[in-house]
Amino acid sequence: MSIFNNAALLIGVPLLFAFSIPLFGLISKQLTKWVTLFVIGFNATFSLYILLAHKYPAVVVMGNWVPPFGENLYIGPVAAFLVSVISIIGLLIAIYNLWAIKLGDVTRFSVLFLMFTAGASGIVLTGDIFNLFIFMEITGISSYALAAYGPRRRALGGAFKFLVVSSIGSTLYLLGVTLIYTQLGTLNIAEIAARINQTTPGLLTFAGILLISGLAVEAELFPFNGWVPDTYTGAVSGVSASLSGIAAISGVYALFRIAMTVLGRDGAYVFTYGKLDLMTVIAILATTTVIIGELSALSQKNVKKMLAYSSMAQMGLVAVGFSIGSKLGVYGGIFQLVNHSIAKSMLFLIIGVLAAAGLGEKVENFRGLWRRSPFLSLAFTIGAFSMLGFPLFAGFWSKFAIVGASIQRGGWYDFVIGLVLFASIVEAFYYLRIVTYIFSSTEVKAPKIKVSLSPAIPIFVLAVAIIAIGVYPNFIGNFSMQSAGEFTHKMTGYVLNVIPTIVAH
Amino acid sequence: MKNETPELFKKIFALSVIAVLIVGFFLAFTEMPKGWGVNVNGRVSRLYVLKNVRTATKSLDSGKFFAKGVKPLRTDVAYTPIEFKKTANLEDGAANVVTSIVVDYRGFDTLGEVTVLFLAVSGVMMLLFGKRKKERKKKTEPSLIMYVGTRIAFSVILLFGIYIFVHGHLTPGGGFPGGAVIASGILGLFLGRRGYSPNHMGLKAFESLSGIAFVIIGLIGFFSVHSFLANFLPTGIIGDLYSAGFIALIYIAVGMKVGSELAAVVDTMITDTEEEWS
Repeated sequence: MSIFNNAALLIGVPLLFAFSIPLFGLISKQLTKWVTLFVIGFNATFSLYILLAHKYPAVVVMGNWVPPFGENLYIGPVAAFLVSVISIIGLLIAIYNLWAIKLGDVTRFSVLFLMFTAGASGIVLTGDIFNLFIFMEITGISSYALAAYGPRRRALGGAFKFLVVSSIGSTLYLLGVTLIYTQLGTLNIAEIAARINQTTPGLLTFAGILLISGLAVEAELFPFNGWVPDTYTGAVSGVSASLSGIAAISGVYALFRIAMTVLGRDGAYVFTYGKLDLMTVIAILATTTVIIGELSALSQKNVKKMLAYSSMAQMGLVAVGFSIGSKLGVYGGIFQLVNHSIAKSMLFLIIGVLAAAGLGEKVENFRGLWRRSPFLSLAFTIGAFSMLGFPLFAGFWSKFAIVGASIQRGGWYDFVIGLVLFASIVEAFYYLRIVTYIFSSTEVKAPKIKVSLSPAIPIFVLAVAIIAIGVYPNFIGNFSMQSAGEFTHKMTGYVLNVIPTIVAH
Repeated sequence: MKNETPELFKKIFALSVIAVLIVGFFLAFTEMPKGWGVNVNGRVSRLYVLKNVRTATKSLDSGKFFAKGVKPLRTDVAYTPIEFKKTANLEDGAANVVTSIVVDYRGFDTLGEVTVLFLAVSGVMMLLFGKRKKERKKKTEPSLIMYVGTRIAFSVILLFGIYIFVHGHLTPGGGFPGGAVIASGILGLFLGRRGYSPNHMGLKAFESLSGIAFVIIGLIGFFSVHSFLANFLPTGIIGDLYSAGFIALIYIAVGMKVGSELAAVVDTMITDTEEEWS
């Protein structure tokens, strides 16, 4: 067990500044956005340092109590990689927010956005099943409030729906944690994972169902995703981008940390202990999510709502990849998760810039956009191609890996090949419809759209990232592969790194 | 509120939640170990973590504590032994074990809970943001008894709240109840006087500074003991006001924070302002 306590600053520094932002707000409202920017920038730099200097796997001991007696953070390949992705996307959206968020209570918005990003990193970092709940609450509460931010309170409906569904979800999760605690007397993820077969199978199954259904709300799986379309459509674009780019990562991570590391049984393919194989349950839910999400997206005329449904479908695809349970499948899942976050947050940011320029959210409004703003048109096209898995764009490699994993697994998972192809075809239909509109050669009278620097930087960076990953997938692929190993080999990948001297069950 | 989720979705969601709960609780009640089966502690301690690799291997060889065939998976890694006498000392420092667990062992969770409250209050304030006050409709004036009574009661309530959170490590109580008591005193002031408004700047400063104080206590532990939120003070003797290390300090910060935050949210909700979007 190597100890790297400095990484506690990844949580400590954002907390310190979140509490002090109201004081900065007394000086100037605009200053608070810069504070948020710099703090998330610190997190991004530090997590990139951990990732690139290979400081993982390491345990961060909280309060000087060695696990499993106190709380700990665990920085494995997954945490190092996903925290970097979360912080970098958060940083880019913070740059966008400098331009986008000018009205209303800017100070509180900065506090909430900062803690939203920090909470999502906390979910990924923590090594304690109850601490995970706390971070879920932090991320959840800040995202309800962020989703409700907007002119004329038009976002309140979606935010309220999100609040209700997500609160039910976290209550179910807490019940599950309680049941596991009555059985094992510990909250440490590593210890629970090592001793999970000492529980009563029926109770374990019930606890597993509660945990999975609680976490499926954030991971946007059917039937817990009714909040997605309304919330994404109602919220301002920067918030939609951060919900799909940041909250989705932490939601999927938490779901599969519980399903694979805590409840899972090691092997070539991960199954879960208990009377019911929850990985199969997740696979079925995820498949349904993909089908429903894609078909709903197909019928949308509103671009933002279309992106929301597409986001739902993509999260389903990610979950299908994970639920195959082999190393290759999880690799595909993580890769797809990161690609989706990059592409979808970029698309939402573009919608935000267009909305500010007075362009509506309808599909027809995109007609002839190429003449008005070549930069935004190109970026949108790149994002769309990545979403539908066009070769030489980021999304291709991850979808390819998921198909490969399902062929490797065989059995009824052959169905996944059809599912991925179905998803790609439907996505091609509705994304390319917009792209055709963008490049259609009708004469446009409207003036050119000027994109100011601060929204242009994140859009440009994300678009370049998509192309870079598409041309050279090994960089992200390497980290995804290491992360996949942590998920599929729970004893060597997780438990023994946290508590090296734990006794076998 | 535009409602576009299909009815079928909602029904499926509701039905699945109810079905899972009914089946699950049935299982939970039938399968929950009863009577002698509930010996959780036995199970926990028997197969617990070995504190020291060397002694563990010794006892394994002699078959003292563990069944033969049970072996630690890794013996190559040195493991810091946990000195239980020191930790016991800390638990003696706080008069009740719950406080010690909540603030010391799981202090990070408490910091998270404080943040959750802070974010909830921030969210409410962001949604109800506005500077222009609306004209209040005619309401009955509070009576003289109410006016005088709340002002006298406020000082007593304030003192009592402070007492609760300062003695958090000695009595059952602590920062959260203490803060709630203080906020209820301020709510009394709102009821007793029409048009009462607390000092907003002061509340904001109090709220921020107490939160910062909590994190700084954590950071002092980080720089002196090299672990975030670690206890850096001597634990003292049980029953003294100056005991239990940093638990008292944290509870004071939490109490001030919870008190000022709840007061601020009461203020935001009572004062009716027009929405401001400019």
